[in-house]
Parts: sequence; C-alpha cells; structure tokens
Amino acid sequence: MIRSKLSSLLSPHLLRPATPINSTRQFIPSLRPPSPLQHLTNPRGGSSWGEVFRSYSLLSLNDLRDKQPKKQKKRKGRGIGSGLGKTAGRGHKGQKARGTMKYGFEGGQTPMRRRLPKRGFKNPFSLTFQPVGLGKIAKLINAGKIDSSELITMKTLKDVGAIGKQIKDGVRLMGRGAEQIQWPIHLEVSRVTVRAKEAVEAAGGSVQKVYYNKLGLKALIKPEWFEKKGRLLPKPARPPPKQGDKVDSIGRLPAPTKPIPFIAVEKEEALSI
Amino acid sequence: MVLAGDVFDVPIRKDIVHRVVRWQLAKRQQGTHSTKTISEVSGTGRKPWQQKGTGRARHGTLRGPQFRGGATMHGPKPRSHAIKINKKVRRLGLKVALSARAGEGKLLVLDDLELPTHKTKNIVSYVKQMDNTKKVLLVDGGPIDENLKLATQNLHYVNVLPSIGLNVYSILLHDTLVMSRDAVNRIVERMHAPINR
Repeated sequence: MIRSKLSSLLSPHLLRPATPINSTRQFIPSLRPPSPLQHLTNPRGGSSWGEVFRSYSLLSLNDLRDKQPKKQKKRKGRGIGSGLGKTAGRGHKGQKARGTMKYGFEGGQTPMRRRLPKRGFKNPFSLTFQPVGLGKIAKLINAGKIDSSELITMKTLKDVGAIGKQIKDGVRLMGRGAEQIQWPIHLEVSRVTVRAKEAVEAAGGSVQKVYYNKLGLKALIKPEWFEKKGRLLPKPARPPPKQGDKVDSIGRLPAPTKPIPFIAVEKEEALSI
Repeated sequence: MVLAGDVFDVPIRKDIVHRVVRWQLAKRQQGTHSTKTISEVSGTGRKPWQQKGTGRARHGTLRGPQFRGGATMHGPKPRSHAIKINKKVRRLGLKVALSARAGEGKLLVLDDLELPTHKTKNIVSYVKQMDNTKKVLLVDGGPIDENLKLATQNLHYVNVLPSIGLNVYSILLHDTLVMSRDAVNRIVERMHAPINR
C-alpha cells in the first residue's frame, strides 16, 4: 500500500520548488503550526487519510526483543543460590569429580559400542521417495489447489505443498485416504503402491510411473534455475536397466500437462483388439 | 509526493530491528579490555616454599588466581565484538524502522533543509512548535551545509545526518524524523538498487 506522506497534506505553497535564499526564510515560516503540526496534534483518526496520531510509539529502543528469548548460560561454582555451587553438578569425590573421564568408557567393561555387532552397508544407489497419500491429494483438490482436469505431476505436488520442501529421488503414491478419491485423476509419479493404483483406477483415473534422474527432477521442479544460469533444459534420460521394469515411461521435460502417452497406448490396445 | 510502499510501508518486524540494533551496538564496541594470564603476570615461577614441613598450604607459584597480585583466569582479552548480519536483513531493518516512523506519523518530509542563517534559536523555536517530540533527526541528501550544521551543533536533542549515514539505531533513538526530499529519493534509490555480491 502506497501511502502519501505528511508533506502532501501541507499547504500547497510548500510543494512549489524551493524559493531562493534571499527571499523570506523558507524553512520556518513554511512549516507554521497550522499545516503539519495541526495534523500531528489531531486526535485519533481525524485526518482525511485516516492516519492515526499515536500516543505510543510503534518502535522504540526500550521495546525490542528477539523472536526466541535468549537462554541463560549455566555458570557453575558461583554460590549456593544458583543451584550449581560447591560441587558444581559433579556429586562427591571420585575420578569423575576430579577430572574428565573418556566418553563411552565403562570402567574397563567392554563398552556398548564394542559389544554390539556391526551390521550391513550403505547402498550408494538406493533411492528414497517422498510418500504422499491419496487422502492428502483429495484434500488439496477439494480445497481447489490442484486442478484435477490436468495431469498431476511431481512438480504440481511440490508447488502445492503436498510433499513439503524435499524431493529426494521422486514421489511415491501411497494409499492412505484412498476412499476419498471419487473422480478420475491422472498422475505421473515415480512409484505407486498396489492399493493406491487400484483406488485411482477404480475411480476412472490413471497413474503412470515415470523415471527422472536427479538432473531431470531438478529441471522438472525448477526450470527457472536453468534459465538463470543460461542453460537449456536437459533431455530427459532413459532409466538404467535395473530400474527399467519399475517404471512405465521416461519423464517429460518441461513438466507435461496432458497424459498423452497413456491415451496413445490405450488407443493402440483398443485398435489391436 | 507519494512515498514508495516497499520502503515506507513494510510490516513491522521487531525481531529484525532488534537484531540490527544489536549488530550496530556490537560492532561499535572497542573491545580493548585486557587482563594478564599467569604467563604474563610479572614475577618468578619459583616454588615459594617447600612442599612439606612448613605448616603452610602448598603452593607452586605466588601468582596464581587466588593470590593478590596474581593472574586472572579466563579474563577478557582484546577482541572484536562484531557479529555478522546478512545484508538483506540490514536493509529490511532500515525499511522497518522507516515504516514505523511513517506509520506513527512522526516522519516529516520537507522540500529542502537549507537555512538562511546559522542561528540556533530558529531551530529551537521550530522544534518547540512541534508537538510531542523530544529528539529530532534531520536527514539531508548530500553533504550537510554549514548553516544547518552550526545551527544544530549545540542542541543535544537535534542531530543531523547525511542520507548515507541513515541507520536503524539513530532512527529509533530520535522520536521524530525530518527528511529532505533529496534524502528520501536517495534512500528509496538505495533500497531499490540490488545488493552486489
């Protein structure tokens, strides 16, 4: 909201360009009480702009605080009243009171971290998908945030806030709230669970499992990053052989709006039959 | 004249202003406090008396922290108290401070701040006419002219700043802000210029 300032309320002779110095004093007389100060002394809400003359200040040095109050430091050994005087939280006597013991040392007994066996390895190629339930999607459609006539891609889900801020390797469609899906919706996600797929197809919709690699996902979700860097959008990559049977098709860039391939596949099947 | 809304009408964020004021006050600290540790206290390192035999307490040095004339443990050393604040946060703090003053009605914009004479009593009478103000901050666009400087020099409740020197702490310190049109334009320009990285 652009608000006019006080001087526009002042008498019109002020808004003329500054008069030269050798004329009458332009500083004091041009700001006689009637004009601005009358405004300042107006009781609440009297002006034509609806500006309120406040008797308190909106922001003053004695009224500043941070969002979270600062935590007090624990000062040990500073008197009885603090609760941490004398032994300063160490109890009475012993090695622990007199020095530092090594962390995790159990007095010679095999420590926990050596008693328990090691297990497994970390797979660098494993993929994590963000789960999203059908109930959440239904809720968002009801709220009007998702357009159910268009194809719902992972980009729409992220923009709308169905999955939060992180998309790791894609989105997995889960079945919680599946009974809330009553209209046909078309989705393109990375993985689907069996029940979720059944629920969507029962309502007349379709789910396509598409493959995006990390770069492709970035191009899908944030095409403006490529613009800003001055690069073109990458070509969508085909999936590696291991993931070939887990996905139906390659993802399309930029984010598609119509489930074209699926309809084409349906048409082929219809023609062949 | 219409003031730019994105500079003079932003929502009031007390926590941001708190951070900016804390930054300003911290960075102006001199930090020239110093104490001597036990290695720096003048005096010998000789063991004052033998460990056993005398009835006195055992000591290795006469300059330990428990002694008069001894060292200070973990005492202050000269250091900088400055903290870092993002440039965008600093900028937002300035905008919030200006919006607060504009919102209370304590922002006055004049055509220019030129004075015919350097007499202080003109300024005194003018400020007396203003209602409900104790401290006034005059902000001029470019370099401040001599008459204004001399006229306000001796008044503790009137301060002058060039527009580059406009800062949140000064705005909050003074309850009324009087800017010249040139100053307003410069500030708005500065707020709209992108922060160079």
